[in-house]
Amino acid sequence: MRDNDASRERGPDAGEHVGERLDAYRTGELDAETRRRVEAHLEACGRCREELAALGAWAAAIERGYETRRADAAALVPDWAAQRSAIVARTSGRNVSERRRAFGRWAPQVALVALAALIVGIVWRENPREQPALTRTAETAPAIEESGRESDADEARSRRADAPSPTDAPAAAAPPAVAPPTVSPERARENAGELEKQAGREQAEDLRERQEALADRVAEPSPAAPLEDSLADVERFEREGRAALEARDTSAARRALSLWSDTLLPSGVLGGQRVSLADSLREFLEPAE
Amino acid sequence: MNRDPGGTTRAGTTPLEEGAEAAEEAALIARIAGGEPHRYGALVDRYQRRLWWSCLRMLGDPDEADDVVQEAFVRAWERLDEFDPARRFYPWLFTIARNRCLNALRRRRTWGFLSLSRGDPPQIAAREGAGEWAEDAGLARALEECLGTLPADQREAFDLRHGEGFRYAEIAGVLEVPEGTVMSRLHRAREKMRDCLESKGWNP
Repeated sequence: MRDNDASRERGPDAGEHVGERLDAYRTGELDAETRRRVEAHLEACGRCREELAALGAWAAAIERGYETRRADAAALVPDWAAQRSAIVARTSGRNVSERRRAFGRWAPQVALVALAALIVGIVWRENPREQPALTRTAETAPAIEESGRESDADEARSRRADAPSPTDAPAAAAPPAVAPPTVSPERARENAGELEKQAGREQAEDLRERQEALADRVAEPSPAAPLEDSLADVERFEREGRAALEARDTSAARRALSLWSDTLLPSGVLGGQRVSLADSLREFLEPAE
Repeated sequence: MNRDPGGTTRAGTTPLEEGAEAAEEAALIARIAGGEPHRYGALVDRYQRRLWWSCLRMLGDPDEADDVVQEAFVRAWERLDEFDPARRFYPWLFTIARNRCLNALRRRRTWGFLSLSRGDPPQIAAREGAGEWAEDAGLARALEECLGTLPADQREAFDLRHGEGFRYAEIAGVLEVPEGTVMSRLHRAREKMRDCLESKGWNP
């Protein structure tokens, strides 16, 4: 079977050896022309015929070796059911054709950026003495208004935002400034005046109300920050689970396992990430329970 | 002389069986994409173990492999409408997972193949037994030791061909090289593996 130089030698009567192609020939993966050339060579080359004859058994033995290694890794395998549940939880309830619409895909991010920009602006507005004296014209005010509308998207609230903490958010009694957020106090007053002149007091008041309403929403504790929460839960699970195992503390282990079962798995976000730790906790608790 | 290349294919399946499996899988994927998303779990059942093992070999970390498997299945789900039903699903899924493994390895800045040539990891207890099992275990150890001597490009091609059962075109797609390159790499890898295995007393 062996012919290390089979692919490089050129036999005087048989043409180029076909060692490189024998495996693909064996499994029927060659195109018709190459296959004919291989067959023509095989008619004349005993060494290649021997190599082909032995190749199937050799490959089968190698594949058996791989299978054995897989079996040997049984002690490392994750909880398949948990892994499956986490995947299914993240894919169920959505039709394939629905989850890649271009706008739907990016709308949350767009809304998030708009919201973050507006929040930054509001905070700056609340601390005018700390603001750099940026120049901005009143013509940008309508754009801000649009951002406020965009920020109303519910999805934006469910995303993790690099937004100020609730305590940084402005109090409900916002000053009657109508200027765009990143404007110096002097310029803000000018802008407000210009805007009032241009669009009338009603429009300026409407813009102020929108900003205040948005600020109130930001000041509320966010009811939904699933990714952030899940990451925190995963970290807590790892920290507390490992500590429980180290201290051999059954009640702490039970708490960590509850966090795993009740929160991480149902959330479907990173749910199966630390199955080994969960398994260890179960094994630790089993004799105790 | 047996010159019936269509007689057997990978892993002992016949072309007919392989064709039937492919047709059944294509029908399943069509149903999932056509509005029966709950059937995706069947694909997960079918491939999660195999994919996890492959990721474990690349990453050397069971938890990290678990993460990549989940992410790859979710990503495959999101891109299912791009899947070509004329092809097999697993190599496509594997390509997604492999890219994620490579990203993880880049982040780690080490090539973390679970090289069994450096000795069995302590968690993987080599099972001893009698008869064929012991023989297979010995062969498996020799196999891993010899794989560790191959250059990375040959080892990966060898893994994909003999460990994953991929076709040449599929390997070429995964590695993004021409099929001829795959044939060359595999031929050189097989020569080295034969030499190495024979030096360890194995001549399968």
